[in-house]
Parts: sequence; C-alpha cells; structure tokens
Amino acid sequence: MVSAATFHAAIVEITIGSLTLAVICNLFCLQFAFSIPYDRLRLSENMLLTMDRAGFMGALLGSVMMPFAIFSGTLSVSGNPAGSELLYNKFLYSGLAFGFWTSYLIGRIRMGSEIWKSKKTNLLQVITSILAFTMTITVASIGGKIVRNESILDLMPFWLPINKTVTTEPIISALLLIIGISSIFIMYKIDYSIDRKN
Amino acid sequence: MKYKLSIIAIIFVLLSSTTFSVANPGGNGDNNRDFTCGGSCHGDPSLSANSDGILTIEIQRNVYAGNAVAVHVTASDMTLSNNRIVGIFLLGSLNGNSDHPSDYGWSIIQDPNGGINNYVETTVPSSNSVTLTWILFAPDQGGNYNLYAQMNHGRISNSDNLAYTGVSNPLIIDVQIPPENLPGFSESWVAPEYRSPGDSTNIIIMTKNTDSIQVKWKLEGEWFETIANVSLIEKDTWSVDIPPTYGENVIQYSVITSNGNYSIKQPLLTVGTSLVDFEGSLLGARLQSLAYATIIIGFITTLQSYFSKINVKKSPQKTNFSKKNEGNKRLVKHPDHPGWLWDNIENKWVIDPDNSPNGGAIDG
Repeated sequence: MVSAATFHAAIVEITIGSLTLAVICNLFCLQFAFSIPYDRLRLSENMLLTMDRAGFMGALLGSVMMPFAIFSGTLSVSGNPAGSELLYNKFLYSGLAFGFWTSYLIGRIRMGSEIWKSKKTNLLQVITSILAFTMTITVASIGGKIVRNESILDLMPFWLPINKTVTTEPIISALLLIIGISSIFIMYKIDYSIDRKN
Repeated sequence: MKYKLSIIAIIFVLLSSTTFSVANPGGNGDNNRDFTCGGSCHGDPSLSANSDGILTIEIQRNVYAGNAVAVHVTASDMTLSNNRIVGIFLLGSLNGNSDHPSDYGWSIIQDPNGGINNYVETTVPSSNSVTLTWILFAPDQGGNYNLYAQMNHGRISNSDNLAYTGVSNPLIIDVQIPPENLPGFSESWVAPEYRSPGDSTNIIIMTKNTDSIQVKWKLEGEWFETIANVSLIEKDTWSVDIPPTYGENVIQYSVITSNGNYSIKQPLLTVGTSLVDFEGSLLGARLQSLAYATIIIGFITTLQSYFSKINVKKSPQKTNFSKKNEGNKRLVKHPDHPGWLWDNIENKWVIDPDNSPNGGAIDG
C-alpha cells in the first residue's frame, strides 16, 4: 500500500515544477509592455506568445494540483494536521498561494493575452505571480523544515516567518471568508453593469 | 555562444550549491544515540575528518555507586559552520554500537538541555567554548568505568563537504561502594525537564536514606540563591515550591540531602519553561486559509478590473486626439499664398482665420 506521504511528495513535485515554469515564463512576458536593454534576452512576438501560453498552462496545472497537494499533505500527517505553528502555517501560506495563483489565472482568462499589452496590468500580473511563487516555495520550505529540519531557504538572509503564526477564531475566519466571497461577487456585478452601460 | 555558456555556468553553480546541505547542517536534534549513528556522515571515514577543537570531560568529586554525579564536557576552539551548532555525545565506550552510558550501568537524570539524552546539540557562543553538564546516576556496582565525549560539527569554507568529529580522552571513574545510609536521589526519580508557562505546581523530588532536604534555586545566569519551601509528602518524597516561570526562563536548583550521619550536596539541576501549547484546529486552519485566498482574489481581480478600465478610457481620448491631428493636416499653409490654407478634403483654398489676406477683405 502506498502511503499518503508518497502521493504528497509526487503531487508537490508536479505542483512546484509547474508553478516554477509559470513564474519564469511570466517574467519573460514583461517584454510585452516593457523594452529591455539587454538584446540577447529580447524575445520575438511569437516567442512571447509561447511564454504567455506556457506560463498560463503551468499556473493552471499547478493550481489544479494544489488542492490535491494540500489534501494528501493533510492525510500524511500523523496526529493533528494543524497541531503546530509550522503545520498551521502550511495551511495559511497554501491559502495565500492559491489566492494569488487563482487571481493570476482569472486575469489571464478574462483579458486573454491582451493583459500583457498594458504596462499596469502587465506589472500587476507579474507581481501577482511572483508573490504567488513566494508563497508556494514558503509552503514547500515548511515541508522541508518538518521532514529534515532544514530547507534551501535557510541559505537566505531573511524570509517570511514560518515558526510563528497568527490564528483567528473559526467564526472570524468564516466572516472573512464571507467578506472575501462577497467582494468578488460585488466586483463582478459592478464590472458587468459598467460593461452593459458601455 | 557566450550567452549559452553563461547559462550553463549559472546552472552548474546552482547545482553545486546544493552539496552544502550534506550531513544535516541544521542538526539532528537531541536523542539517545550510539557513537557512529549507524554509518552517518560523521562516522563514515570517507566523509569525515578530525575536528580541530579540544574536547575535555571531567568529574568533580568522588563517585558513589547508585548516587548522582555531574559530568562536565567542555568543547572549545573548533572551527565551526555559520550556524555554530555542535552536537556532543556522552558515551560509555567507542565501540560504535551499544556504547550508550546506560549500556554500562549509568543512568541519565538530566542532560544539558533538560532532557534525558546522551546526545545534545547546542549553539557555541562567540567565545568558542561551551561546557555541558550531564547529571547521572552512577552504576550500582563499584569499580572502574570509562566515559567518553564525542562531538560532531560542520565547518565554514568546507570545500570538501566533510563532517568533522572529535573524541575526548577516556575519563576513568572509580565508582566507590557508598557508605551505609548515604542520602541521595532515588534511582527511580527523573528530574522534570520543563514546566508550562506560569505553572506554579511544586516540583516533586524523590530521595533515599534521607531525613531532610534543603533546596536552593536561582535563575540561570544569576548568582543570588533563594531557599525554597520544602514539605514532606511521604517518606523520601518531597514537594518543593519553586516559582513559576515564563518565556525562556530556566531555574537552576541545588539539593542537599541529609540524614543524621551525612549531608550531601547533589549536582545542580535545571528546569525550563515549555513553549505554550499550540491550539490550532484543522477547521480553523482551513477556514482561515480559504478566507485569505478569497480576500486576495477579491483584491487582485478588482485591481485588474480597475487598470483595464483605465486603459479603455484612455483609448477614446487617443481617437479624439488623432481626429484633431487629422483636422490640422486637412488645412495646410502654403508660403506662396499667405492668408490662405489648402483644404485637402474639399480640394480648394480657404481663408486662414488667424491670418486673413488683405486684412480680411476678399478680392475678386
């Protein structure tokens, strides 16, 4: 019988690999709106479109796999899966990573590759994917800390806090969740009504 | 070509940097371990090298069978890695297996970190010297016994990625048969490692051959000692009132066990403050995680909409501007016909309103 931990390791590798590809491609997509001074890194229009699609597919695959990674990770923990600061932070940073990656995907799906053409939306999209990737590798780093008591991020002079966490009461979290969902819903309603007027 | 070479060089450097993480540079945690840890990096001759540090082991007074004794291990002058972690073993032999002190009759009452392990890890201060103390029960049988200390550590600028190890000279201990009725700790007693923050519960001490005890306590790092209130619960079981602690406070306490014939000062013991129990639930973690995700999605997608609307608004302005430009291009001045403009659309001359010919009068 294959344990949940083995599935978790495999799924995490797919997730991290896809998202790494996505963030690298997204960085290249900056060239849609910004010219770069270094000629050798300047990509053709076709290559940029390929980067856009590769980044999109990488983020899509990573985001689809992420809930499975969270689920298998929860199953692979003996005892309370949220029973320590490190484990609790895994949930929180996973939520943040999922939020940022989903935002990136929503933007890309709503506006298509046109999102890269404007400087503001281009920058927003790149910053979103960088933040998403930061959250993702922080989650992976917590996994390394739990299993091996070390991670590659130990080489960094500073990083996001992982040994301390902030817990809120489930009722407060539920309230925040409702506010979050409502804000998304209201934003889409306003967007829709403005589009209709135009 | 240079471009490709530089990419290959970057990949090579990144891959090479992963070898820095051999031999658990973050440590393995305190535990009960044999000398070689079953062929680990520090035990494997091809992966290890001798430490340049000095390791000494000493004991300060006579040792009586079945009684408590303090063993001090000092590690100094090592060249350490950046994190300055050193792991130190207390061993009964250097056989490589079954060399835990308990295999030779010793029993650990307290290790330097408050637990009951023969291997502990500590961070060496900038003085590059650290002394760790184990409190042990001596073997029940008298005779000569050996104790060894061994240390494992990494090293800065360690290009060969070797794991460094050092072993002390053997400390030969003459364990003497104790006098009749020598008062001391009970062999079944284990010193408490931690108390939870604010816990004012008394510490229980179990003794043997003891009519009375005196306990003095002080905060670690301070010199002023306070005598603790002691009450007898039952024969050889004592309740000691030591104040509660918070944060990272550690209390050191010394016990003098006495009866009509002897009064023995026992080795210094410590009790630390445990971390506050974490009270996170799976439901709470999931809800909080989802709440964060939805708030992030709401915020970022709103920004996306806002920025894209700005772009849509800007586009019509551009159109108006181009029309104005078109208007300007429609009427062209000509140097041979001052006061007149050529209309490109109507293909005829029209009066320049800013510079009308003949002061505005049109001649035939």
